[in-house]
Amino acid sequence: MCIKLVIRNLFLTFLLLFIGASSFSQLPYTYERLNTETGLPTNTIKGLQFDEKHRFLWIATESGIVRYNGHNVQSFGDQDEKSILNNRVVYFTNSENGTLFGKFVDATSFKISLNDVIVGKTSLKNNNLNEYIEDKYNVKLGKLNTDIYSTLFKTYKINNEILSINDGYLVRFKSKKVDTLVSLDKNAQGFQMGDRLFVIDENNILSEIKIINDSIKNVTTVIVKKVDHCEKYFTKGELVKVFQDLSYDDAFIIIGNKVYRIHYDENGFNFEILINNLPFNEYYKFVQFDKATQTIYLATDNRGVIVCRPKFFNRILPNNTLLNTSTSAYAQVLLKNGNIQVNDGPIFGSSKTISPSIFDKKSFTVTFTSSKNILYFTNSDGIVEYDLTKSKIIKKTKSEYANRNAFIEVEGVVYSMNDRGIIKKTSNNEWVSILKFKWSPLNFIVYDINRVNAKELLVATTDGIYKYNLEKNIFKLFYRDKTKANFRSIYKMDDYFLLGTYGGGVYMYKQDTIKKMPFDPNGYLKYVHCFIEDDEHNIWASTNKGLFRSPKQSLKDFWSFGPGRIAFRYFGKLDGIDVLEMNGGCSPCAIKLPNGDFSIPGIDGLIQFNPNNLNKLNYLNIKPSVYLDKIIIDNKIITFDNFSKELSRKTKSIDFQLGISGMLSEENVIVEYKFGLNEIWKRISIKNPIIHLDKTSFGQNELYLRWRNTASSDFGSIDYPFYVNYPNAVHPVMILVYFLIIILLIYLYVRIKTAIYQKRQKELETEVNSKTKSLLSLNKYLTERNQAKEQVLAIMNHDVLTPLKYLHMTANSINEKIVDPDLKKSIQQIASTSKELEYLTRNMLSWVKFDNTNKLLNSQEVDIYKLIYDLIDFITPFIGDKEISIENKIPANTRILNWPEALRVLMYNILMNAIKSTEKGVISISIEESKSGYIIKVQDTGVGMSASMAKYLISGKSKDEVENMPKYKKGNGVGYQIIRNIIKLMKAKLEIDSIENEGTTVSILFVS
Amino acid sequence: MDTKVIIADDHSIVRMGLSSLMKHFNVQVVDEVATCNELMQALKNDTYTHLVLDIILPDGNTLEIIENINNLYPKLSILIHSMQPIEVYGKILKKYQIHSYLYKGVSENEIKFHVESFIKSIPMSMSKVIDNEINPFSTLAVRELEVLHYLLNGYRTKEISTLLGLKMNTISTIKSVIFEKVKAESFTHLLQLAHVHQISY
Repeated sequence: MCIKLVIRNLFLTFLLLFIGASSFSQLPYTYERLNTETGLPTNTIKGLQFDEKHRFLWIATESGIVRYNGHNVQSFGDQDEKSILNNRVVYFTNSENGTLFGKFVDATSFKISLNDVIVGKTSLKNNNLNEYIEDKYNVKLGKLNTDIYSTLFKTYKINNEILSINDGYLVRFKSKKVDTLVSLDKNAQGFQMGDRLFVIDENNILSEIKIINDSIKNVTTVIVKKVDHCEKYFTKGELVKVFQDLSYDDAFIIIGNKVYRIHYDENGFNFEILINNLPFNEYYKFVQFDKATQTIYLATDNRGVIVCRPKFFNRILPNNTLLNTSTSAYAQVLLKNGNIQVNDGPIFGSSKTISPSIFDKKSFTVTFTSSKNILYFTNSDGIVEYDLTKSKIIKKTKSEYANRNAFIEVEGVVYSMNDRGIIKKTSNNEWVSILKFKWSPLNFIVYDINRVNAKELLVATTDGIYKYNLEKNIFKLFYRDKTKANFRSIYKMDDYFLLGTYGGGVYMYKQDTIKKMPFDPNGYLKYVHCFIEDDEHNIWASTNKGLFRSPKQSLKDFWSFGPGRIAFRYFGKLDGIDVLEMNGGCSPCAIKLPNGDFSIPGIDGLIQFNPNNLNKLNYLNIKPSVYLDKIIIDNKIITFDNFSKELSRKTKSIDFQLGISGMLSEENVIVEYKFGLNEIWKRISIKNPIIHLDKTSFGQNELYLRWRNTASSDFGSIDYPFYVNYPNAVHPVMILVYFLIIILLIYLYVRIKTAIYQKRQKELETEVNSKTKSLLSLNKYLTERNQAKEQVLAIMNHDVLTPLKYLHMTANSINEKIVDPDLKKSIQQIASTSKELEYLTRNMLSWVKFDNTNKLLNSQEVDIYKLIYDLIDFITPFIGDKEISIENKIPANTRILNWPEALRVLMYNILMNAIKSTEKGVISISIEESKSGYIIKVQDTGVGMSASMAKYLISGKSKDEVENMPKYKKGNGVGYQIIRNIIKLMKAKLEIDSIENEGTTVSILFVS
Repeated sequence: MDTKVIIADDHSIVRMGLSSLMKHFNVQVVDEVATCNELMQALKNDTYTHLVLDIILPDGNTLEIIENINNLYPKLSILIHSMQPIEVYGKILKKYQIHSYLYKGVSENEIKFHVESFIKSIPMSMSKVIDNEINPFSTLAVRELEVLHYLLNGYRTKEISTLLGLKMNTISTIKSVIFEKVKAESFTHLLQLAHVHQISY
């Protein structure tokens, strides 16, 4: 192919190429410089790329790659294993497929992936344009006939041909060869608009380069043609810099201190001016543009990066000042000429029209305009009333109630309050006191008054929120902030009231309920001054550190649903507010100007802006993204791949370093995290977004992240599961093993114990069987014995006792017929003996009977007279030859409740004892009532007995004693044994009163 | 017709005593028997006006024969003379034609008085002494008392069924009823209860 050089034609050749240059309206900009002071490793910039998709600005420096996210610079070369990232970058550009890539000085390539820098291969050569082109355009050039080296590649793609301007030559790259097409100015800078290539030479002349390929002749013709009508943008000698990465990218041109974006269409060139007057005189090397936010990034050669953001806020300074007044602004009053005068006197505004001044001397910060257009305020003249319609002061009132007053109008009546009390304006235009405060706190100031209902006023004071009841004329404290912060503003928001404090944040009030609203993450809302609502129903709040904007509904949602998702947008320095500190404690505070702008008093002038312009900016709602930048385990960085695997059981701590994209200011991003679903979300410092996990739990863990642009209530979220190996000792498998071992041990224990028990049981069974056998045998023996005993008793009763009685009867009967004295004596002896045997047998049977009895059967009514009567009849034969008479002194038909059988045996034995111990005399039986029952007495005139004998007979103890008293031993002792048994069974009491040789009285006491 | 007495008692001394007492009351003929069989035979062979009858005799219980005696010798005046408590047997015997019930445990004077009344056919009342409800054996019926007699003497069910001519099941049922009525828990307990309540056997 033949190349034909064509001399640059300075005249108009192509009429088609008409440049209708025009400029777009420009935005004011605010500037921020990124340099070593703000986190850059060096101020020497080697490349600049804005990743529009992920919204990061990547900055290649001489000391490595850094990433900027709108508020923070993140370095990628500060860890050992990434030391290469600290290398000097040779170039950093964007490829056609969107990959950001570059090379370090050691010829190692790198590329950007999402939020990270990926280091690639190291080539043999550096600064090789061939490689650059292959990477940028994804082509294979093969081995070329020549290698071109450079440090600042300028390549273009025109009609699929890759061109480069290098060292004053336009060259074309083709497979395996490089063609030089035309010689250009050594400092020529090129850019392309579609498939058209333009150059600007060192004389700032803009020309188009036309390349015509004759495929038949295999000849390429190059024509360089000056573009007309662009001279006005270029001044000779002015430094011109052109920036463009790819053919489809916008081209930017800096001419002097102006920055343009170049558009080209069928009508020619359009130079859209972005910045009219760059405040810096720099050598700019790279330009990037964020279309969404209209932010321009200017990389300088060795002074870092300048971030140019659109400016939406204007600071207005006073155009006059009174003596001893500052530029600080408080209560604003709009003058007739459109200017604003503040209570101290300064006037703000550019109107040159003369307008009467309202504040001719310094006045207090609270003013009030009534429905009659009268402005009320206080100063050294007292209460001043200024007629805004007539533009003149109409009344001044001095009194103790005129000092730093606040005002309100209720149904046509103006009220005023200060630290002394409350006054109101009467119908005859006079101030009268309606409530004098008995006491008020030191430095008590009333800042603002608002009406909450027909009866009540809400009053913001230095001491808290007070309520004034109009009907009852009661002024009473309603709420005081815990930090004793001043309440300085009350703003009515539909049914709600917003209360601004100085140090205590914002409160909401509704129907006697007050709620404290949460601070923003930075606590800027601690000092809140003014509230004002815009046309889009957003509430704006001025603070000591900028402005906040919240949708009204979001604030109402706070009242209903609590904090957590209040949407707000912070506006500060990055948005163009030069002086962030606003002023408050004044009325009016924020005002809306006739043109729709808001004017807010500040510490240094007024801050004015149009809220509607800001509301139109969609980028304010850009959703940020959060990436896991680095995972540092026990101070050692690991890759995400390693993190996905099981972590060592020795892991002590994990640091998660996050990357937050979105190019949002730190105040407008909220990132929260937690490690368990049920944990509470914790907020991350946006400036230093590192999550430190000090004590890792073994097993499955999960890092939960969520984030949002504060302007939205919707969170983005992501989870990072990770697994920390268990130590062998506490590994779940080992726990299972332990469990199984315990189960096994328990099983063995139970088995052994069971075996032992079974053995013991067997032994016991044998023993029990043996014992049972023995017991059964014994039982059988005893049963038989018992049965035998019962049978013996039955036999004795039937076969002994009865025959003895009849033996006695028979003997007596025979005796009557016998004459022989010896035989008669023998028969009498038989009769006597049989009677004694009958008595003895009867007693033996009774003894056995009552000795074995534990309880008597139920008692019944007994005719005691009849019982004793029969008994006397029964025992009379035992008297024999003794001269004894037995007297039954019990009245006939006397009935008692007793046990007849037992009583019969008892009395039988007592009477028999009486007969035995009495030789002659009387035995009498009587009954008498006692306190608790009755007493049966048997009294004899026998030998009597000693007290000890009586005691023995009652108790049955001291057997030896009775054995030593043979004179009393007339029986076998069974009688009293039976008596005691029966007495015990009857629960009666036995008493014996006896005098030796005189007689004995036996008493039985029965308790009813 | 002259008074002619027969005494049925297993104890000869009792018979002798009563016999001498009868003669004291001018009774000329006093015969004695010791068993039920001898009694029935004597009644068959001779004619008596008075019978002194013990309840428990060596070959059986009077309850087994008294109805028969009543039927065969309706004019025979009968005095039950026994160590058995009157509250147990008196109620049962009341339905038969007997003169009175003389308990052997009473005094000699009362025996004399009672015997005299019997010989002279003077009516005697038994109502007061019969009304003792405390003795659980007083609730037993005739057949139950018959079976009780054999039980207390150590007879087995089969033997009792043979002696009384009843089925074993019937005897078992009667045994259960006896145990239930007197609230006896065992045979030994039954013996003890019998002793306490003076049931002779």
